[in-house]
Order: sequence, then C-alpha cells, then structure tokens
Amino acid sequence: MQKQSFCWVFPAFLISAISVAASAGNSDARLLLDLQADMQEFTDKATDTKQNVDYMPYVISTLDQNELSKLGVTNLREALKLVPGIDLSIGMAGVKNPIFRGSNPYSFSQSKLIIDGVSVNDQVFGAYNQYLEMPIDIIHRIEVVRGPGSLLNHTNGYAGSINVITKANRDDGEKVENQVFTSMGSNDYGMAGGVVGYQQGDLQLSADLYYQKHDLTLSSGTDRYGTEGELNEALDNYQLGLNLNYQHLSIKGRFSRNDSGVSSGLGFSLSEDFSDYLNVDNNSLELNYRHNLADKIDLDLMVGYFDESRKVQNKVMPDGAIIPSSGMTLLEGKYFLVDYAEVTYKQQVELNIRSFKGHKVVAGLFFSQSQPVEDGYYQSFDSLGTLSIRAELFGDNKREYSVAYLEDVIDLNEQATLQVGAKLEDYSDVDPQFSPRIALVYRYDEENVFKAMYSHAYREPSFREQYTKSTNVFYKPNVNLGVELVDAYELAYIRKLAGQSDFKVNLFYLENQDQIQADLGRDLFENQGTNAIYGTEWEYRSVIGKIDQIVLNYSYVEGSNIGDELANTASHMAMAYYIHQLNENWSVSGLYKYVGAKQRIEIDHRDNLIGYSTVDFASQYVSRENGLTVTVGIKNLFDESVVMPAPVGTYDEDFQQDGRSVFVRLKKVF
Amino acid sequence: MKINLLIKCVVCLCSLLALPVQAASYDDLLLKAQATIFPKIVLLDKEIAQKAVDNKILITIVYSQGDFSVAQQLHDLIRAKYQNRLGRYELEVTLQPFAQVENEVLATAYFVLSGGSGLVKSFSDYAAAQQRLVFSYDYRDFKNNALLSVLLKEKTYIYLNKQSIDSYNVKFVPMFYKVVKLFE
Repeated sequence: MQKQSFCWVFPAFLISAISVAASAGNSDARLLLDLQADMQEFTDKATDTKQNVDYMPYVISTLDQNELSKLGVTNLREALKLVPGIDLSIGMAGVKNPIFRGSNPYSFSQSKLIIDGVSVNDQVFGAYNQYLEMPIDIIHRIEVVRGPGSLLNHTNGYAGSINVITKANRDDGEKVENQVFTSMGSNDYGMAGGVVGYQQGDLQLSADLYYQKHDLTLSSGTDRYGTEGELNEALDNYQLGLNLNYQHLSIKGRFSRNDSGVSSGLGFSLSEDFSDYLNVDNNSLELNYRHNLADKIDLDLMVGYFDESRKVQNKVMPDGAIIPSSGMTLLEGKYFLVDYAEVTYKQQVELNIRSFKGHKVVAGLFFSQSQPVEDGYYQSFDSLGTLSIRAELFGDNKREYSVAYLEDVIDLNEQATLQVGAKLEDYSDVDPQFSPRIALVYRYDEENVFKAMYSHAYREPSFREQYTKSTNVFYKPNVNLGVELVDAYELAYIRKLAGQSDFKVNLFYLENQDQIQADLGRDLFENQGTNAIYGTEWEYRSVIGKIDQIVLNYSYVEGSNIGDELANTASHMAMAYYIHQLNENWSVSGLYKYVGAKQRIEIDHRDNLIGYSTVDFASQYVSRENGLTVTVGIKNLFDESVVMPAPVGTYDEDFQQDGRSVFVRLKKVF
Repeated sequence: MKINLLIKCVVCLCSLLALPVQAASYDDLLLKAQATIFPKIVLLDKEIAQKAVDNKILITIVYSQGDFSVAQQLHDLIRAKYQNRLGRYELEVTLQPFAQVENEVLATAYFVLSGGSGLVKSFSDYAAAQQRLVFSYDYRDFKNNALLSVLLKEKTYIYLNKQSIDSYNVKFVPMFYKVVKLFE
C-alpha cells in the first residue's frame, strides 16, 4: 500500500515541481519582455525628444522652453541667436533671415523652418520670417540642425533647419498643460495668449493662440534717394494652432496673420507714407495617418495644404524722385502695391521599418504642387489717387516637386552607428537632384563621442529669384537660374562631463557651387560660381552647484561667401549665459552675446561694419503651488549700438537695431 | 588679433574643463526611465523572497542634503507606475538621507541619488555586505561600489558593475544577464 502511495505521490510531486518552475520561468520571461519593452519605450522617447542626440549621427542644438524663459528670451528669433554659428541678416522690407555659418547672407531660403512637422517656407521667397516672432510661450522645444539636411526626410535644408515643437504638440508623452500668458514691454509691446489640451480616451485635442503687437520704429539713416526718417517696424500678429489626435489619425492646422510696417521698403527706400503695410497670412493643414503593417513596420500617409497671401502697399519712390532711365520726375513719387497668394498641396507616403535587427529604415515618396492663385501688382503715381492696370507679378508659373528618399541608421556594433541616406528629387522647373548623406558616430566610451558627416544638398531658386515680372524690384529675376549646391563635411567631438555637463566641438567645411546672388553690381540674380566656407563651433554646458547653469559657445567662420569675400558675416561670434537659482522660487540670469566685425563685398567701399556685444538680464519668480510664473527682463542693458549690414547703394549707415528695452511676462498654468 | 582671441577662448575653455564641477542635476526622462526599470530588476533577484520585509518589497531612496525634492519626485514616479504592487508583492517606497539610512530597517533594495564619493561608497559597501541591490542614478557611482544603473544613449542600457558583482554576491535569473551590459 505504501509502495502504491509512493508511486502515486512522487510523479504528482514531480509534475507539481516542474509546473511551479515552469510558471516561475514564464513569469521571469514575461518580466524580461516587459523590461525590454520599457527600454525600447524610453529609447524612442529619448530619440523623439532629441535627448540622446549626442549619441546619434547628427549635430543638433536643442533649446528648452524652461531655460529660454529664465533667460528672458521672448520669441523664436531671439532663441536662435543662442545657437553657435547663427546670425541674422535683414533684407528688403526689413525681412529678417537666419544665416547659418555665413552661408549666402542674401538668400532667404537656405534654411528651413518646420513647425510640428510642417515645413512653412513659402515659394515666393523660400522664406519664413513672419514665424520668427512666435513667442516662446507657445513653444515647447526648438531643435536646430546646422549643416545640410533636416529632421524631415522630404525637406531639404541647405545650410540648416529649425524644428519647432509647440506645447500643444509636445512629443514627450506628457499631457498638454493648460495655461494663459501675457506680456508687456517697450515700444508699446503687448501680447496675450494661451495653450489648452483635452484628452478623453484615445481622443486628444489641443490648441494654442496668441496675439501680439508693438509699434517699434528705428532710425533709418539716409536711403538711396537721400531721404532720412524712421523705419516703421510695427507689428500686429496673431496665430492659432489646432490639433486633433485620435488613435492613428492626427490633424494639425496653423493659421497666422502678420501685419507689419514696410521697414526699409521693398526697394530699399524709405517710405514717406507711414501707413504703408506688409500683410502676410499663412494657413496650413495636414492630415497624417499611421498604419501598422506588421511588427515594427509602420506606414505613414500624409496629405497637406499650405497657403500664403501677401499684400503690400509701399511708397517706393519719394515725391520728386527722378526715374534714371527716362529722366522723368515723379512729383508725387510712386507707390507699389502687391496682391499675391500661393497654394501648395502635399502628399506623402512613408515606410518605417525597425524589424531588421540593428537597422532603422525609412523610405518614402513626397509630392507637392505649388502655384500662385493671386498674382498681381499695381502702381500709383498720384498718392494712391489712381492705380495702374493690374499686372502679373510671377505669371503662370507653377512648381511641381517629387522626391524619393531612403535612409538606414545602422548599429554597426555597440560603439558605432552609421547613417546612410539618399534623396532623388525632381522639379518641374529646375534640374533633378541627387542628394546623398553619410554620417558615422563612434562612441568610444560613455564620455567620448566622435562624429563624421558628409552631405550633398542644394537650394532651388525662389519664385522671386526666377520669375518676377515687375521691373519694380531691386534685384532682377533670372528665369534661367539653376540650383545652388553644397558639399558639406563635418567632424564633431563630444565630451560628456559629470551630471548633465558636456563640451562639444565641431569642424566644418562647406564647398558651395553656383550660389544664387545678386549683389555684385549687376543687380541680377545669377549662379555665381564656387566658394568655400570653413570654421569651427565650440560649446560648453555645465551645472554649477546643484542647479545653476552656465553655457558658453564660440563660433569661427572663414573663407568666402560672396565672390572672394566673406561678406556680411562675422568671423567671430560668442555667447555666454548664466542662470543662478536664488532659491526654489527665484532665479536670475545674464546673457552676453558678441558678434564680430563684418567685411563688405568687393564693390562696397564703406568701412567694415564694427562688431557689437549686448548684455541681457532677466529675473523669474515661479510659484509651483499656484502655477504662476513672472519674468522681468532688460534687453541690451547697456544700450549698445547694434547695426546690421544694408546692401551697397541703399542705406549708407546700414540698419540700426533697437536699443535697450524692457518687458514683463506672466504665465498661469492650470 | 584673431589668433589671440582664439587662443584666449581655448585657454578659457580648457580651464573650465578643469573646474571641479559639482554637477548633481537630474534629467527628468532618465529619472522616469530608472523609476520604471529598477523595480522590475528587483523582482529578478533570485533571493527576493528572503529580502522582502514583512512580505513587502521595500525600496529606499537614499539622498543627500539638497536632493530631497528629487527623491520625492522619484518616489512619486515609482508610486505612479506601480501603485503599491510589484509582481506578487506589496510595494513600499521610502526616503532616507545618507546620514540615517543605515539605522533604519534594512530595505529590499536601494536607489541612491548623487551624494559625493564618500557617502555613496560608504553606503554601497554597507548594502553590498547585506546583499542588497544598490541602483545609482549616475553610472559614475560604480567607482563607489554601486551595482546597477540605467543610461539613455542611442539605446537604453542597463549597466551592471562588473567590479562589484562579487562583493554583492547577488544572483539574478539567468535571462537577466542577456539584457544588461557589463560595465568595466
């Protein structure tokens, strides 16, 4: 009997023991799968928010809203000045344009601006300057790529690209914070706005809205007609962003209106009519759908719409001006009025494949169709008493664009990652282009990272450079323009220090061909030949004590960008800021910016433009319990003279910028 | 003039690199990653049952003066992720300053924030002698005998301090060694 019991008990015990062990093993296996899923989740978050960018094959500067706010930075334009190698130029009608590493300072479209994944460069100028006044209050993070390429595979940034992630579209997995903000400051500056978000299950809605205005005027010096006065830099601007996310569908819309004075004028002449205006309205709408085809294979579909309308009234010639070609005197000067609008339709299909071990493959097709839908200009020679017959500004010119792109980011081993990519692009009005990119990052250890990159890129001419039919332009168009090309080589080294401190240095060499320029005495846009720009950028970032921050950067640029000169570009630029946390609530900051002297182009015999340095100061109070933030600041504390270069034969004393100004900003988070 | 300016900048930057930077700032994303990952690693200790306290997993966050708010943040992150359950155990998370922790109840595992070499080494040696896991926020505390850390690079890495394995005498389930990276 006992033997029978044993025969029964032992197998039962054995089976039971095996079951428990198997169960525990299954449990451990499940736990490990969970752990690996967590690791992948945080890898994706770090990649999406660029927090691991130092270990990736790109050179990206990221600017965080909290830090910008403590520094008293008020808008996108001011934020960009913190990035090494970036300066600003001023073109016609006071249009401001970021210049990357001194590359073609007269071009508006060498860089791309992308807002929440939507490229907002127009076709008429390739510009985006109206977005530079976006208050940082609606911005969550700014990513700046220096050098060719961009963070959107179908968007070609020649000298660099700027990616803005708004608070309403934050991508770090956190909820949108509901908040309102307002600001007041010098030059009768006023701003108010808010960000809201709502989530119910899989449905997410968010929006941002702001309105701002000021009445800044600047001393003009003498223009090319000998007129002196004030440049009307006034601004009246609002923007609304609306977003919907539901499961795999997302819809993003942004609607913007920008009314400003005409500043230095369309033709670089001071307007006698202070009521002259420049109105730029933009609307964009994109619908994205992600479909999971298989494990780690996603298909993204996009259709989009972008439009821009520009209305300008500008007295381009003063009373009594003489037309050089005919000798005729215009007793009441001349007005030039523009009524222009363009639309762009976009379509995209993109495949993201992560199912091959060690590879992240992206392949896609992108198409766009752009054309003017309003295209006219008028002239008036009797103070707007009568207008000329409406004439075409650009004619029936369209641009159709298509690109096929392929990229693979390959983990060669634990220490090295290689990015290989290429784009094949076809335009209806310029030659097809092939743009390869290769980049290697070598992580010697946790503290030392090396990068090497090569890219070939191009910039297509804008409608203004190619098709303008009016003769009332300072630079004449050239329908035979081709693309301008760049081969960019870059080496970078990053040393990670204790905590979140690091030191970065990079060397770059840009070989430009067929640059589109007009300022060589002929006042005609042409592809001008070959030049090279080279230099270095250094950046040091550290935390002092527990929470104080210090950032220092320096950039050096040499070579030539216009003819044989490095013109309108500072060889030396430097920036330093320090944020001191007085206690849990209060912080103070100082920001120093130096922009060195700038040479002129060969035919410009004016003295070189002297460099300048400015100091900004800000103080911030944060009450986390109440969700309240108050910031006060002084810009250009010592009222230094800041001058930006004007083209030869226009404003002899160049463009004087604003002096000391103050602001106060309030934010309330709910 | 240009060369002088360049030399001055280089000298200035080099001297800054030589500064003894007391950097104890914390990255929010890394804290979230560690708050998510570390508790799961505790469950992979083969002797977890013997180390539970009253059948609870007790994780103690050890902090230095000035880091209390970070410790609290980490505590809240772990509680938000796991509530009060970890696997089949109840979970409790406590905070203790370095100066007091060794006088308190021996926890199942410890999470140390930055504390200076002396404090972290002294505590890690104590915990290792008790065979209690020590996770450190900063992998650089491996030189102070911390056992595990997480770093966000091009991927997320769980680092295991190879030099300290023997002193802790902790056995993990075999599969765990496939996902960690040995730090030498």
